Amino acid sequence: MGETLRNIGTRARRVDALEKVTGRARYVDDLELVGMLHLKALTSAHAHAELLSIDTRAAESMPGVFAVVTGKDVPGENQIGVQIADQPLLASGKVRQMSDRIALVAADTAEHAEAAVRAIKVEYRPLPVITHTDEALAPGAVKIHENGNVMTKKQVIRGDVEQGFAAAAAIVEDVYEVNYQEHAYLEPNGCIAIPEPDGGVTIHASAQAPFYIQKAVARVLGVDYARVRVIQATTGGGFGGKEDYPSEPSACAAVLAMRTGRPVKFVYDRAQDLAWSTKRHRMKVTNKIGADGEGRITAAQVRIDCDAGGYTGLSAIVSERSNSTAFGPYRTPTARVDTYVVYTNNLFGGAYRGFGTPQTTFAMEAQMDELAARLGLSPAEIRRRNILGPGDETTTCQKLTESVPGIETFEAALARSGYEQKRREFEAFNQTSRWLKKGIGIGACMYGGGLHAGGQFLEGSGALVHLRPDGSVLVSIGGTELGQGAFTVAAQCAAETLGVALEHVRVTPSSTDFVTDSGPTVASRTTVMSGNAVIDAARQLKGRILEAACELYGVPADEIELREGQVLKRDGTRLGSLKELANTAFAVKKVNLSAQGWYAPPRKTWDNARGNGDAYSSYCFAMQVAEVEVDLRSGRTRVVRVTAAHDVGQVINRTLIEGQIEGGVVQGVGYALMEDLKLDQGRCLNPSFTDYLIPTTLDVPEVDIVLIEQPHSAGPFGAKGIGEPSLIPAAAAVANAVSEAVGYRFRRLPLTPERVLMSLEEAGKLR
Amino acid sequence: MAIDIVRAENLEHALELLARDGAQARPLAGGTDLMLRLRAGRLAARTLVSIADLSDLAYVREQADRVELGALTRVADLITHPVYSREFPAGARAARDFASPQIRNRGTLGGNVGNASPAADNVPPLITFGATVTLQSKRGGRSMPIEDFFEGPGRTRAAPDEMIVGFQVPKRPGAFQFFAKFGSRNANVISIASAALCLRLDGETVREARVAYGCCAPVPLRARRVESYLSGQRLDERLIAGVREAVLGDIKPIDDVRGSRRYKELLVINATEDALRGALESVRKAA
Amino acid sequence: MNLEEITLKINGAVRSAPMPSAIRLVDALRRLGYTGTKEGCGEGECGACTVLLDGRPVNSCLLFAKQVQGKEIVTVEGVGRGHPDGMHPFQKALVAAGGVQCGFCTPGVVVTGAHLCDTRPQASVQEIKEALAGNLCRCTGYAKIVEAVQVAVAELGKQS
Repeated sequence: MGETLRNIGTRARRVDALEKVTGRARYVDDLELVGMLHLKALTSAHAHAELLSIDTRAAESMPGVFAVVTGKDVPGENQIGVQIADQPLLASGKVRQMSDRIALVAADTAEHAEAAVRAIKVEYRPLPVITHTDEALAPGAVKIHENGNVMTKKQVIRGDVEQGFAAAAAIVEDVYEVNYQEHAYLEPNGCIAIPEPDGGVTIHASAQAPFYIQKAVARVLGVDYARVRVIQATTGGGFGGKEDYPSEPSACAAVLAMRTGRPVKFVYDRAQDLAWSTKRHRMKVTNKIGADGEGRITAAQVRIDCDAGGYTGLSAIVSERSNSTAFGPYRTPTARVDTYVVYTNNLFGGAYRGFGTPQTTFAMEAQMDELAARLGLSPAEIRRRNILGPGDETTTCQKLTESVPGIETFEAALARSGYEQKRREFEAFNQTSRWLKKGIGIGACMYGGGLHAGGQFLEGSGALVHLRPDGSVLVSIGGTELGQGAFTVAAQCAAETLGVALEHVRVTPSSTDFVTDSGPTVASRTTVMSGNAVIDAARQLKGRILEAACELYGVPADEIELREGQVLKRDGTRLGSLKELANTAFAVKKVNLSAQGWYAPPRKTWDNARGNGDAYSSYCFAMQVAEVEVDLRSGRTRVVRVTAAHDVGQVINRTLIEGQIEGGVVQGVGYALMEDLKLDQGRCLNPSFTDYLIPTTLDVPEVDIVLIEQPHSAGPFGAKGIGEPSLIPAAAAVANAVSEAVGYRFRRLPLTPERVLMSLEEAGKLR
Repeated sequence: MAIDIVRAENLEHALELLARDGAQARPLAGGTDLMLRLRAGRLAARTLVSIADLSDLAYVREQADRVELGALTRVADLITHPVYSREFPAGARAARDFASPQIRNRGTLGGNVGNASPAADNVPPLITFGATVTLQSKRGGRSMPIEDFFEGPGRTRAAPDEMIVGFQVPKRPGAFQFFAKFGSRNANVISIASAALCLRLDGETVREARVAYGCCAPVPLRARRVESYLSGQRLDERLIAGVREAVLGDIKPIDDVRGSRRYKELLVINATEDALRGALESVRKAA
Repeated sequence: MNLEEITLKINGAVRSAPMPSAIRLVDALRRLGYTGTKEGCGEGECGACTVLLDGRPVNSCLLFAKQVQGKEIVTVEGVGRGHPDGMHPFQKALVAAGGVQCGFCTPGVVVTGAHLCDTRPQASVQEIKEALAGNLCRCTGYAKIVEAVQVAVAELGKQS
């Protein structure tokens, strides 16, 4: 084609920036409706107990109370589990985690609802609380669910791993453990359910996946999907935390809206959000890697114990990604992965940016450093010798064919950071510096874009594009805007394809009424999925109006070009405006100016028993180098700089990509250093921003970004996703840098000042 | 339970209201801590006497031998006040490390002290300066050394009708001052532990040592064992190496959600050693 | 619940309504229609509720509305007053630099950042970061917010 891209690869301003900087953007708690009630929930007092009785009588007669409901009052199915039906909306018979809801109250004010919640009396018979996967798997452990504590077991088998280890010159084997991470989106969960006159319900929610909410609400109400309309309110961040979880508050609000006939608002405060919502999983990762004398991996084996909490939720799907990409961007001629997803009475594990891979990446990247040390290689060299390239097979035996710039991305990160030279400088510095130590570390990942082969039943996305008679364009996508810029990317794709100026494209709030089920906005898939769907719709429209133009101007359609609202001949002669053309097409020619777009990647094959097949449609590489300073007097780590090299296919919006990387790196730095949920018998001890710390302006490194562009034919204009790869390697890079700085291998996260100092003290490294 | 907020017209009015309502009333200054207590259900008061606008109580006044601080001086104003930062650099450092810019703009020194948290960042330096706190009630006024003011977490020796009105802080000309705070991030964080030292040195000899720690006891702690260990001694590596035992003799930190007892011990030992090394260095540089 | 008339001076206008005596400023503002001010934590940690009180950034979740009656309150809706298009240069710079993502922290960031630009145009990068340390953002990693302050300061310098 060779056409110049006008709206792609730019720094186009966000379509929603103005409303956000002026405070006009409308989040769910900003909506007020006449007669609206407020919902409050009573959650369990125990992490594991039998539920003996619930007495709501006193609460029902409290001032302002409209309804109090328990599990028996759910009109449809009292069940919320997205994958396996193991999670009631309202507890019945038993509670399995602290966030289990016992009862819901709707009242005229939040204060009245709160008071009524306090008046509900519950009798429990406490059961032993399982606080670690090891306890859950121990013989004779109390069963959290009837079928035992192993929710599911997955594996990958590639060749004969024992033979691979037999051929190894060096083998490293260690256990790594990582704690939870909370998404800490600035806007807590919230929704409003409005009963509709036709017996249906409308939900406004802060959410990533309106179609999940639609299904959940239809299920608990026992109504058709078509009667459940879910509109995404402006959403104040998600990061995976608003994938599956918002179905819970939305289903609660829907039940009470139907019961009372009133709009019902359910907005969490921060403590509730921290204590109740899902988290990045705690994992125990036992990783064993063997390499030959040259440092080439001969065998890779890992056992992953994933702490799911009390219910399945998305844990089985999250662990599929851990399972399939446990060894990062490296060649594994023989490999074995065993992933156990285990019930405990801890917090509820769920989706979080990276989806089960920051944990395994931390382990794998530490092991690569250990292996390098064993073989006398530099951490860079051992990686260089193992990074997957075009024609190589992944651990799941998937052949990599198109856009595989692993080594290019890696070398770019090394070169830009000055890795080898800094490493020598820091080593010399540390010889003479007693208390301040410097280190540099590498984190590497290969991320499968889109949903795993096991989840491909959800893998399709729609878009609806209208060309209005004045030449403006209205776009609806099945994906959602969480702050990442999905609406801006959708608008850019429409503008580019239709030759419209970006300011004449409007993207509507996402609604289940506009577009077919498009799956969730997760897995770094939205640019690819929604972008392609918008392009599909826009191309259909373009074809129709070019046909009209051909008649109107008497020029063959393939000679006509649309550009920034103008209709031009290929040679640049102006024929007219898009406005005039659209109006004529609509009013005179009676052209259908609305088009539905759809995109679904080709079907992937997958052998579940061996964990072999095309796990993902495409892959992208992310290579980060972190430089740190560690103060041995306090254990405090300062991350000075992170060089982030990313394989992005094609840049759609440079500012947005940088924003994703800068933000992702900083979340990774928080995960590495400070974010530390503490539990006692399944109860979260620090559900507040006072004690769950996320990075401030004074905790963030300089982030130096390198973008590698090798377009992928399946991406819109060649683009790949960036949302998650930005975060995944960061904690590994920081942890490796800290370990190198202090000469001690850390095998747990986070590396809080206390963990660093006390570990070194115990290892006798301080005096 | 409904809370009533009454705005005091002046100091007399505030004291009147406190005297009238006794244990049911509490003075409300910046409110940055009190609001949290109220929301957590840890505030028994029915009446909050708003004193935030009593501008007479917001001042930094320099006298020949001391600086007087009004109870309602905002923490942000301590940082920028030329007299405070000149005379008490360690105090200004603590003020700068305290909470967030927004909280420093609203929170007052009197509030930080009256809240009686063992983690109150502004207190350890004031202890090392020998500051006294002045209380006022309708019955009259009294003052006491600030380290004697605290009884336990959230509890002080102020009677229900008494209010902190100000502080007297003796100048410490030529003294070596130190403050360090430790948290799990670099800003806007509650201390895991903190340490303050104020040393009067004569050459390399410690003439007078005043030492205080935060988060190492139920109250901000004056470390008298450390002080007597140091006083009159020659400041050298031997003295520094031995301070550990004295520190451990003074402090009684607990394991809590922010840090373990062992970690807090290590932090304040290291901070004390670092302070002493810093003092030694500054003396040698001056010589 | 006992309601009493609470009168606030917001962005130069006097607004009042009956409210509970101990209502927090953030709640009072939102009830009066100033919903730009957000509550992210209710503990003064995140800064999403930042407003100017007598010209200084404070957390409106830690203030009783009744305590600040008669004082000048400026919210995100008011920071642009007197500027071209009703937008403070810092708001425009945030848009241009890409310092906005989900937008929930943005009102607080706008209030703190605009105040910083107006009062301390000489601030170094370190001082800009210190001034913004009470505004948590989970999306951007802060780089583009800090950049926006620098851009806006330069713009204000040109205007004056």
